[in-house]
Amino acid sequence: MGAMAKLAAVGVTAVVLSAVLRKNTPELALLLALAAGLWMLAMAAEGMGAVVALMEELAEQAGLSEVLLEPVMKTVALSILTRLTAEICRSAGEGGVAAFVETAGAVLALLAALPLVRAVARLMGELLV
Amino acid sequence: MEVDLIFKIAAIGILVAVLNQVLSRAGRDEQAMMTTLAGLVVVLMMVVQEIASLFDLVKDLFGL
Repeated sequence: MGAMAKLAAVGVTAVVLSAVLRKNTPELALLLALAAGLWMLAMAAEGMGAVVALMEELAEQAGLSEVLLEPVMKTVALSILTRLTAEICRSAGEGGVAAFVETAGAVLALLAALPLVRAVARLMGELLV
Repeated sequence: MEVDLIFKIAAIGILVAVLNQVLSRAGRDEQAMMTTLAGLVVVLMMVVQEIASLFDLVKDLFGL
């Protein structure tokens, strides 16, 4: 709760300061928004770590190997970075670059998930034979 | 990472804007542009370090 109040305060402050800067130096306003976002993410990192630990625990209980969990983690990390980058580009008015980032991110996420898809295909093949 | 970074960026931005206005009113447009550029580079240097630490954090978090 305290953390969320802090996040809200920083967010509103950053937006107000960014609005002040936007008139004369729009590039610095963008960097300020970026810095504020990075700070918020650093605040939320602890919670994310706990969630990741829980996921690993659940996978261990279910008897899933690390090999299966790794593509999932990779895809989540890729999607977080892709989304943040695309939104930053979009708020800078560069929708085109944002679209490129999103497409590249989707391709890389698919690439990270390829081993899983291959494992499923192999499993299906074994079941059918 | 501290909240101070955000205030620092805002302060640099306001300072750069004021300097820019003063210099361009005084007819020194080149120096006004140089000031803007210098401010941009300074802030960029600060933010780039944080971006690098974000990438490290995501890497550590998901064990990549």
